[in-house]
Amino acid sequence: MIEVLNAGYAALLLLLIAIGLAIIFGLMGVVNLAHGEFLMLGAYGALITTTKLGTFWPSLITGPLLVAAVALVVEFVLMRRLYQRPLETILATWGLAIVIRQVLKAIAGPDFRDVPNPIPGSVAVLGVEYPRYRLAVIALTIAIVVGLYVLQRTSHVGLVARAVIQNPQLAGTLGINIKRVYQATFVLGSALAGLAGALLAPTFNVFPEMGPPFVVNAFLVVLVGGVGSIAGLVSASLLLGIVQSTLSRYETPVAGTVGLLVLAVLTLRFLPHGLIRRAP
Amino acid sequence: MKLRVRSHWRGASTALSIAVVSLSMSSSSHAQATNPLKVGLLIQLSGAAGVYGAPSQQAAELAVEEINQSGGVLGRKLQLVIADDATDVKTAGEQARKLVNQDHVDVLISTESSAAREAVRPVAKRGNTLMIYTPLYEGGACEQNLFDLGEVPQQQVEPVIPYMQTQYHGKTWYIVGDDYNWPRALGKATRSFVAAAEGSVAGEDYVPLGTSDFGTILDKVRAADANFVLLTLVGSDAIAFVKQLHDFGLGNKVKILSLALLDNTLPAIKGNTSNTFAAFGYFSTLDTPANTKFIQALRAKFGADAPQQTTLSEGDYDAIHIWAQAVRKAGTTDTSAVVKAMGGQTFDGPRGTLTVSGTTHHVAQHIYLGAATPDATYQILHDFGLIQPGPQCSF
Repeated sequence: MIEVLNAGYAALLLLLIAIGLAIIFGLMGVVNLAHGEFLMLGAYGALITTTKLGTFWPSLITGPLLVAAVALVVEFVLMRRLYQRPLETILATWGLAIVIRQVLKAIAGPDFRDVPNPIPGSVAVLGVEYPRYRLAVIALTIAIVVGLYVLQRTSHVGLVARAVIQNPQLAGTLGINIKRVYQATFVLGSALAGLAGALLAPTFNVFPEMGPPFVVNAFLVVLVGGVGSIAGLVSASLLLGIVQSTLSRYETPVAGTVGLLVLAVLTLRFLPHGLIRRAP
Repeated sequence: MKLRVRSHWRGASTALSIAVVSLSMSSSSHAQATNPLKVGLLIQLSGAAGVYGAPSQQAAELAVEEINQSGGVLGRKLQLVIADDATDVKTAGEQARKLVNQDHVDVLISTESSAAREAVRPVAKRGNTLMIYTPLYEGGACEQNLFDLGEVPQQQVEPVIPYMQTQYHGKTWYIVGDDYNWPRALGKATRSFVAAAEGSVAGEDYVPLGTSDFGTILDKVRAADANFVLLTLVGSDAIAFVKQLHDFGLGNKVKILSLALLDNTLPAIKGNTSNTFAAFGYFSTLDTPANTKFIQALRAKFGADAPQQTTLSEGDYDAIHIWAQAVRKAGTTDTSAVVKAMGGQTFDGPRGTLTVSGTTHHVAQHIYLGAATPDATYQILHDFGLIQPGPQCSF
């Protein structure tokens, strides 16, 4: 049972980080290598909130809000010049990531900071102790992903987004303000990273360099799952999360990482459009 | 007409070059008194281990200031040349080349990971520069011009394992580390020490650097019924592991013996410090006159909120003083003369008396066991006495 919970936890965190990345890439053709830094900013948001207010849960609002504010500025200054130009965005966002890390280090210092677990301790799940907070993260993430899926499928906003993914020029001629859609998408995708950062801060520690390791696996999920559908991302993160978790548990953690990478390579070789094909 | 001008110029240029050469020769002999000795300090000021670099720089600056205030070395002042390896092996090699080949440092003091050391070592060797590697490490790094002052497994682990087993009534160990050379070598050494202490190793796992989720590993530790975890995780990985071990309800069942959870990272595990121990040759809380003086001097120079010293950073203070003593004894900065003079050097510093062995190029030192406390310091539980480094090298 613990293996299932561990794999689920890993997969869901991967998914949350990957969704933001996929939204931005799928809609705007922007490869955001600074996604990990937005995650880090969300974690710092949680640190500030918990320190100032004495309680953690508001961080799930303030973290993403802080990142949304930063993303708005970044979009205005940098991103809007780079839409549909993947190669340039790689270089630009790589530089952006370095700048954000150094600015954080100058403001907050390089030290590892602690965000205390708001619901410490464990509960017995079918006989084995499992951390309360991880169960909360699992439940919250499922709720967020389901909410995003429903939003995408049933709301006007979701319809507009899907239209722009399918055919930006055509959507523009129908009166959709493409620039606004891009702006909102970048802010939303980044805010999701900030939310992931705030969520995992109590299980980890907060420091300027924390971003990059999270983003590498998220990119793999996006590549394997395809950018067009949440279903594809869910499948990819479940697949990769389970493979890595299981190999790590029954073999070694190195085998887990190797397994994840091999699976990603094989999937891309045989299913280049990702796990769930979307008509282009 | 042209020929005469040319011969004029030739004569003039010859005279000029002779003048320049003789001037530079005489200036180099004059500048002995004003030309400083360059101490190259290659540390981790940024990157994943960036949090360990600042106290190193301060400890080194204090040592240089003390030495300069007492007249310098051989009539020359010391000048610190600091380089940052950004916790990146490739950068470490580049910065080492800059210090050795461009800055021509008289000694290269390296406080970096074992991985970075392997990139820096050949640079110092080729440049015939004396190198002092200060951090705790896996042992066995041998070069004619290299001295290793840090704790080796025979010091950091061997005496501690039987003590922990007896004191805390347990015999089963689980080894968890990051996947690079130091943790793997320590794992191997630990297995032999545990066997000698009639304990057993129930499992050994290595994770990629930057791992944040230890759920599966902790599941294995629980399933193995381990009494102790020997932790060779570093940096944020170590902090995450300790936090998550408590989250999973193992905080009362498993005791952690960490080999790299340094004093200045304790604030990050605030509520989860119970049953977490460390074995080092130096703790910032060491209650000796020499350490009290050291900490006070640092606070006076850098302010009351100077970053906490650790065994990594204090080692730079020792290294500079020991090297200065060796140069004075050798009477020259010529590398092979100083290498010879390093053997037998003793220094009474903040971590106690250190004696450098000319045969092994390593150092005998006191080893202490510390327990992490809720106010983010280590409380010293036990002094294992002076421990020899064992047969590391043979010169």
